[in-house]
Amino acid sequence: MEQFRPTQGIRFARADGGTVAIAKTGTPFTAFAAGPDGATYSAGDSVLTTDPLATSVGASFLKLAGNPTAALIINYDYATAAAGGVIIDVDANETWAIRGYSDAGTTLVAETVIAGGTKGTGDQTVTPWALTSNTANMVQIRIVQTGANLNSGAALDLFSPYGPLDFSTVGLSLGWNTVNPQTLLLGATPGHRITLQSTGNVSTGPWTPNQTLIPGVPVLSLTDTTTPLPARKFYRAVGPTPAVARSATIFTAVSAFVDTLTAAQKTSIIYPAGDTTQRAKWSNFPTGIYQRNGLNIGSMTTAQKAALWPMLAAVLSPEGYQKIANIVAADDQLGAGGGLTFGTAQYYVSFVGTPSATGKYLLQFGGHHLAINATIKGNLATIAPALPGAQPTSYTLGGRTIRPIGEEYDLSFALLNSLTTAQRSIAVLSSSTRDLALGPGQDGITLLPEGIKASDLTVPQRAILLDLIGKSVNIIHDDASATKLASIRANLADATNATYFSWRGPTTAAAAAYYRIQGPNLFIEWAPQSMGGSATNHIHAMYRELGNDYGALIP
Amino acid sequence: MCLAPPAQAHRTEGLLQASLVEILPHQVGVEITLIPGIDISPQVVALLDSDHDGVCSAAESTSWTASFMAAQSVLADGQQLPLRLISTSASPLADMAGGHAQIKVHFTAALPALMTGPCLISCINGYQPMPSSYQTNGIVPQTPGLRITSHRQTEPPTRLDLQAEFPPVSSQAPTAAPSAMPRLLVWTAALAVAGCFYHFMQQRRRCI
Repeated sequence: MEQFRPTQGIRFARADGGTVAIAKTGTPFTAFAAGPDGATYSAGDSVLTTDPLATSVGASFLKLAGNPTAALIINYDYATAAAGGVIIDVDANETWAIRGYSDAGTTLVAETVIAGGTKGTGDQTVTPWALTSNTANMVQIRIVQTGANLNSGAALDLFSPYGPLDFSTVGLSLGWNTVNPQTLLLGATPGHRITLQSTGNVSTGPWTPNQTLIPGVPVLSLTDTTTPLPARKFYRAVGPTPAVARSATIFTAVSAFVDTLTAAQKTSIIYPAGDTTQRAKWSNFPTGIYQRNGLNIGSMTTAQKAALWPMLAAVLSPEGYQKIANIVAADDQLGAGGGLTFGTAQYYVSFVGTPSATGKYLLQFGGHHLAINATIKGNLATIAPALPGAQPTSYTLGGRTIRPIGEEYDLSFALLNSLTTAQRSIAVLSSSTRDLALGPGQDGITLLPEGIKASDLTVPQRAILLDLIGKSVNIIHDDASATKLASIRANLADATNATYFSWRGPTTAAAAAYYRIQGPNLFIEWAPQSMGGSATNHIHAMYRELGNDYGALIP
Repeated sequence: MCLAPPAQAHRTEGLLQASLVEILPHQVGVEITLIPGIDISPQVVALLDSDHDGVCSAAESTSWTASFMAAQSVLADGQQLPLRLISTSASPLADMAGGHAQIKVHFTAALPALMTGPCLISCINGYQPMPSSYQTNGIVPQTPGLRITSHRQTEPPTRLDLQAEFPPVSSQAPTAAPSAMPRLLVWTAALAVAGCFYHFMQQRRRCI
């Protein structure tokens, strides 16, 4: 719908002076629902669901009567060398001419003709069109039906002022959020790589890459946080291209580990897909209190240990891998006693679902103060629910001071200290700290949010908050986290689908306090544990993706 | 230089009482998890095993549950609602000293029939036989049209006030709305009376 708004640099009109009609899709993809002009259409005129391009089409179409006098006129605010779009359902007795002009319909500079076809080759399918000119001189395009059937009609969608759309593999669309005009809506097939670019001049460019992402969901919200935004800024999404590199790397590394297992080990640590009991079998407790399933590092052969860490490195980001390694190493600092067993040997690996190159499965890795539940399908991945805690939170190894989750602690206080008195009165909810509210065993619950909305923070404060969130989100590999962070960033300015930050406990430096971050699909907790000594040295933490724990949204 | 921390992975201080509150069209569901710290575990054991024979009998579990429930209140616009115990479960007595045991109590409060429009729901946990730390959280309703427009806790958080907005009766589903606490439904099916508490006290349960 948004591409039809004049603010997008494209304006629509009809040659006969009539109103351009927009029709909404039915199910499935009914192109010719009766629209505001009162026209009626055949019930059979719908897009074939078998058409691979059908999923590219948005929820709304421009409708165009087939009478030549009612030609659709597309005016571009900026001259362009290329343009593209689609026509839906070109029947056998129709011929559609698409003509590009360097002026108001007089000087023809480009033309293409789409002839009607049989069912599946024009009729009830989505047919892309593209026009190109030698220079950026097209300011108007006219689309007109010149075939025999003067009572025909067309639906048109996905207009692009910058060139032909890449429909080679999957669909792609870009539009504006009507609620928050600063937010782009990107529609693309999950699991494929998209490059988002922007420019200040749509005719001359240059197009600057903003970010590359691999959507995990069909529609993403993206917000440009550049301040100040220029008066005019244009965006385009390029791609999509299958992002096979990451998935291949992951599967190779996972296979290398699985191949080291004996048949009996495979049977005992690879649980059936859908085993909800095993997937929820993780804890903050150490061995002796809580018994995990799977194969622990202490029982692994040299070859298995050698394959374990590369597997984790393939699934996690470099930052996430280091964090996990440091959490495990922290446990080596704890002295055994009281029937409890600590240390690297007590970290377990297991799978729910058989690992495959294209299928969905869960890789579990955890022990004391650590739970990673990595749902993987190709390039798509999530580690939620994850428990990235630590005890101790600071130790010395090889002459270096290691703080496995120290950045989170520092950023949380940086954010707290940045708050004004008025903001603190909303964010700081009590002087006493809390335990985890949604720790192990508390799956599938969404709590009422509390604290201050991110939309009520300043831009620099939101930047700190985003950094803090990133310490959890970025544990998973970069391709997966980039998309999640883009969505979270977009939500920070949204007061309706708000992200909240709350604090419970003392606010003085080096204090042990609880904080919570909750957004539309995000839940982070940080809970110091009082066990003698400073509670800051023993942290339970949670990272959940509300609605997407265990990869529920990964198809 | 970091000194090796003590080999502890359990709660050391006080009795944690963590409540989850969920509002459904016809009732308020409350789940309270009690986790005794090491320092007060003897007191907790004494409450559960009043005759000190090392076993929490059915009578003892019923007695404790009754005293716990007597300290609970759920109000709708200031009016006390009748409470119904759904289930109680607990770790073995032997685990209570370890600081990682827990007791869970699930009960419901029946709302007046045909609730519609705004209503202030208040949940009060007055159980304090020993030093306790409280935390209370409300759950986002899953019932279409049922909203929590604001919520507030006291300090310490023994009381949670939820300003609810119930949908018009005509739009409410005839069947019970799904609960966000599915495990409570499992317990409900498995346990109907507090006397079952005894049996759970005899079984070693997974600690979470």
